[in-house]
Amino acid sequence: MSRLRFTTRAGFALFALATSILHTPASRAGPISYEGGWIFSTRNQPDSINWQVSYSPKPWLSFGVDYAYDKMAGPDVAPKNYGLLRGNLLLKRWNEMESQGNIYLYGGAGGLKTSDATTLAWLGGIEADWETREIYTSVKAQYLDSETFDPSTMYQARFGVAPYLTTFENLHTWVILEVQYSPEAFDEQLKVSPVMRFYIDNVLWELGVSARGTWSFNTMVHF
Amino acid sequence: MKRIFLTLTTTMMFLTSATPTFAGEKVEVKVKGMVCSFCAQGIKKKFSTQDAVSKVEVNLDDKWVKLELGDNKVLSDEQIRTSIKDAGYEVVSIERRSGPSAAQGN
Repeated sequence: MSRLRFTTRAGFALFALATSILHTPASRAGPISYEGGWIFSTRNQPDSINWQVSYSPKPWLSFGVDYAYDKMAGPDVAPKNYGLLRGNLLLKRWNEMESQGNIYLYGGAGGLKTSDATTLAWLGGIEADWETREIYTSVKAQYLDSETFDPSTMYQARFGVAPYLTTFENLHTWVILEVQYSPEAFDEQLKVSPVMRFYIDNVLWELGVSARGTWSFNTMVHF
Repeated sequence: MKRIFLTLTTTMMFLTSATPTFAGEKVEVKVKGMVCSFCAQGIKKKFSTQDAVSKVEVNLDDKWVKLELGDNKVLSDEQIRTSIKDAGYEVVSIERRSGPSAAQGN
């Protein structure tokens, strides 16, 4: 296999893996909880899993650890393991009577292990969201680079509506449409996915399916 | 027998002193930014760790958090504002209503 072909395929694998890591199912953008709170979240797809744990020493800051495994089955691309230390910063929050808006910055660094080598990788991103009790919107831009592979970018937008309103203690439901654009992706640069989100108390879960029929199941618990 | 009865009665009057005791104060806090129950769980968490608070109730429609304090417990406005801020929100107003007083003895 030529070096260019390996780099391209491995770069895509790195990108896909990191994208799965950086997708958070929270109704807010990043994994920042209340002061002293912990968040545990998972993202699961047929060929990849991602686990995240983060702690918020302040309501505007959190630190965490991400782990991901990407099967990436195929003759030229081997499974990947990804371990990352990550920090999230709340740049600005607007609290209004009927809405809340947030801007976050995040970044991290870690090791990416393939069957051929272990390499250092790093990422950075910015994310913003605004929501009311009926409407949820978010946008995200992300950059990923490493010692070995080509850098990649990803842009994402989400729009959601609540089909019903209920009390604080009951089950809440959201219908969300996610659009993701990855210009350096090897395949499927533009993804459009409907997602159903549910949460009650401190437990949240999402069920989604891409246009190609790839399912996803995401969870989050904060305590 | 009469002396024992008198002693007991006097002791009971002393123990239930003239100082009035109050059932838990109720505090209603108007909050900004509270649009998501999953995110607002932090408010319940923060107040649940306060010894003075015996009950927390959150209403997303009317944007308030209702606190019920334990008997003779105190929670200052400053403490309330700090807890709400640590949960990621902002206080608009705080209203207090004392519980029914029960003065025993004079």
